[in-house]
Amino acid sequence: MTGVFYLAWRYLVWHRWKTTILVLAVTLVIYLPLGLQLLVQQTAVDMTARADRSPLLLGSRGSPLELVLNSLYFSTEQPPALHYGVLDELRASGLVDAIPLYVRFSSGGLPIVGTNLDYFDFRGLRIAAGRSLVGLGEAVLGARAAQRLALEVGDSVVSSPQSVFDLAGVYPLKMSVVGVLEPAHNQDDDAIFVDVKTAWVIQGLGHGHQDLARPEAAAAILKKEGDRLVANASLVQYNEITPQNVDSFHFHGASEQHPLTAVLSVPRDDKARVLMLGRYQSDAQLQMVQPLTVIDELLSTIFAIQRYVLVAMVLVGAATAAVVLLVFLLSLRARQAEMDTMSRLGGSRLSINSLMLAEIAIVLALSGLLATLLTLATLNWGGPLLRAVVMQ
Amino acid sequence: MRKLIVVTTLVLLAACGRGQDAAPVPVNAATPVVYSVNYPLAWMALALAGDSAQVVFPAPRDVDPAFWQPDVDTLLRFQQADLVLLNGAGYARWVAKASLPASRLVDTARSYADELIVVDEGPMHSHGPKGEHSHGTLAFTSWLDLTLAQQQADTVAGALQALLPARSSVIQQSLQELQRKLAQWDAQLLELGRQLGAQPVLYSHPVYQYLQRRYGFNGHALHWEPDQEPDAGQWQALAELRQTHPAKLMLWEAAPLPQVASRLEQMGVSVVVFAPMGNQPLQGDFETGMANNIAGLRGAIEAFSASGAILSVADRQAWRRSDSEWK
Amino acid sequence: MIGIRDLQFCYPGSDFCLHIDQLSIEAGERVAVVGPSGSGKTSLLNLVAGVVLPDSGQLHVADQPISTLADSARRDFRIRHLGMVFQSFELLEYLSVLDNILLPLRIGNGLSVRDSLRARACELAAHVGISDKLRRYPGQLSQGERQRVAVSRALLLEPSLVLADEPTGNLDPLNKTLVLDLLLDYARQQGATLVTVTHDTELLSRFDRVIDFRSLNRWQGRQ
Repeated sequence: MTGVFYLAWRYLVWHRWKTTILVLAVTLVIYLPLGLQLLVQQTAVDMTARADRSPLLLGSRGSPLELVLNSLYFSTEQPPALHYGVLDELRASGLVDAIPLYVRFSSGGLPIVGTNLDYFDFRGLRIAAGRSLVGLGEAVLGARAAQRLALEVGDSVVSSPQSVFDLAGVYPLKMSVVGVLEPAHNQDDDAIFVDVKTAWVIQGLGHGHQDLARPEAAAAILKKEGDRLVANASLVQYNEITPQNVDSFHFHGASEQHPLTAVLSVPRDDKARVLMLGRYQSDAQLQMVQPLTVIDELLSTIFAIQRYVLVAMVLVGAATAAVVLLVFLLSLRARQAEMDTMSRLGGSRLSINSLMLAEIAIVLALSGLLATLLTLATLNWGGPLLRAVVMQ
Repeated sequence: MRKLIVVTTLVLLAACGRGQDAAPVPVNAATPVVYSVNYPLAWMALALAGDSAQVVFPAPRDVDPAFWQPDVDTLLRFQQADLVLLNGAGYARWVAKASLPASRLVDTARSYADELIVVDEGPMHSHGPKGEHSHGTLAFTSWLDLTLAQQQADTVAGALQALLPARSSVIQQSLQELQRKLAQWDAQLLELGRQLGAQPVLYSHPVYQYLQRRYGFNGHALHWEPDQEPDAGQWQALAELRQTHPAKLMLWEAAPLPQVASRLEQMGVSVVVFAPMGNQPLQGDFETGMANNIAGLRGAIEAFSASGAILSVADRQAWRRSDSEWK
Repeated sequence: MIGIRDLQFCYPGSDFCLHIDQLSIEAGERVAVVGPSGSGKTSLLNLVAGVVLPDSGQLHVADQPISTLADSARRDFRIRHLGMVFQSFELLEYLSVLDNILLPLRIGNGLSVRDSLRARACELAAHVGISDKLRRYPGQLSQGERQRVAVSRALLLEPSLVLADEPTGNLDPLNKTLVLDLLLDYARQQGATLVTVTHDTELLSRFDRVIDFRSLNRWQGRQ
């Protein structure tokens, strides 16, 4: 039989394009349902795990899904902002530990997550290189973010401007990379973490500039009316926070009014969780959501869609199988002369009849191997890839 | 065998030694570490927790903690503390721009946030669309109002009890003792304030806002440093000021230069050291320091009384300053 | 080597039949079979090879009663003892020259590619003058080269009987001579029997015997 497989292999190699198309078609028939199921399951597991580890989220009234996706998976769609002052209210309740989140800006396509040190403790994030944040203008990169941006401790990362034409608004801030995290195998790997106050500086709610009282800033004063100074456009505003100019940075307005996208709320116990949910149930401005519930709803929708897609794939697969069979049957017909030659040479009926079967077996084996490789690839990289696509 | 025992003992003894500059570590795994941004809070925490916590106040002795900027290593140690006591009122400017674990921060001014005194510093200015603003600040030596210090002590005690639940009753007892001392000082200062009446006083630096408000002093602040000699312009300004504010008493954060004290005495201005003790005094502690402050002030007032320099009620009304300078 | 007596064979669905009273070809004899196209010469070869079975009569090849053997036995006999050469070469386009020569080993029952046979294939290729083309494919060869490959394939297992159906029909005069020389030399050297169907009358003198198929086939048409 090895002779037959050899002949089958030579035939397939000779007709490499036909073989390639056949193998790819069969591979897709095998892999697509498997891959889809794997992808969905893996994503479901990842998303559920992430949501399960995030007990409560407080945000402004709006779409709970948008709130959860932005806060836990750092999607680009931003929920309406809420005020930083709610953090104090939450802490004052004594029922939860409150962690601020401000996920609005990005750098190099990666989300900048404004938060505080409690986030790192809560998520179990550990420093792999460098150190944690100590102040304004510093950034700590997730493990994959550092790789994608090719940055190390000591380098700089610049926030992306949100609008080319919004010259008076969000402008790029150059931040110093002080640390890189160990891989967490979740969305935190792709994030750039900064103190929430640094995020406010990016937004323009805080800034640093020359001290108008100093002589070197005299050229920047447009007019002086008693104790009031009006600066002109030559006033140097800093787009990088350094140890030399950090003292000049200040914020306008009360910090309680500054924006957040969400507050990650960690209830002290189950009773506190229930109390928190009840407290904001009827609130007109704010909503307290359980991410796991929101994600479960999303996943049930996805699973429903998946079932329809699988049915469609099975039908397509059946059609593909029929076409592949037709190809082989037509090939058999076209190769009748070849079969006759072998017969006349004295080839055994078993060998001649097995030739086509051997070709089918090889195609199936190659397809199976390719489908296996694709499935393994999906297991390893499918989740992060889908997350990157979905969260854009 | 004998040689082995000696060597082993020496090695163990050597291992017991610790460098003075080593970062504080818990004495054992169960001893929490409490960091403070100023000395009064560290003193309170020590008085309340005793040996059950390791209280750290990392500012060098020769800096003003309100304006001190910790280096990166110190900031990292703040981050690792089990509890960080903040004075509030904008004290320690570095706190506003630092990243600290919010779950372990305690703002001891939270309970009296609406009683904080706003001080304008820097010119009003505007740039861009945000309108006029100044980089104004709050007066931050709030502990000099002993009733606010009592509230701080309550807050510190509450935080320590949450950190050391097994020591809760001991902390409560310590708090009662601490409150007794603070109340005693408050009563003594109130009495001294009554005795001083509307007598104008001078302050070497604008750090006595809460003292003035609580105890009714009639003060005007200069910007003189204890370790510097004022220039001619400053002496002239003082002389002009005393035309309308004839103070005979000047409170100093620390003892001024002898020649400065001497010249002030010649001008008829007595020097009284009333140390705010934002940082740890060179000798003694907060209790001895406050006792010295009160004793020094009492002595100066008694001297006034002896010389008949205390103002009449009419003079008090005439010379009573409004609070506008301080608000 | 070949003995036929009173053999009758009719093509299914066709009016044409073969009726051979008697034919005997001795071992080692080199026989040319001539006759007009469609006279049944190829059918004779197919009957001798056991590709098709006669409707009646006796047919012995190398003392084997071919007509009574089972299909598998006939195939086995054919691949081990017969060498087949066809007018249209009938090489497999997707196999290299060497693989084409070795083809019988891969389709024959119980056969396999052994080193000794691989070596023989190379020798044959060298003998027929195509040893430098072993890695090439039939599409890269001339007609004469292809037929030499086919001859090498036929002679790989040293058959005692070689059946060649118009082996020179598609070749130029030079290659005709070359191919025929290969077959005749093999038969002479190995003592093998060679039966060649040919239209080339110029080559007939090189054979031991020439059989006119018109006189061999007694079929007169359906009665």
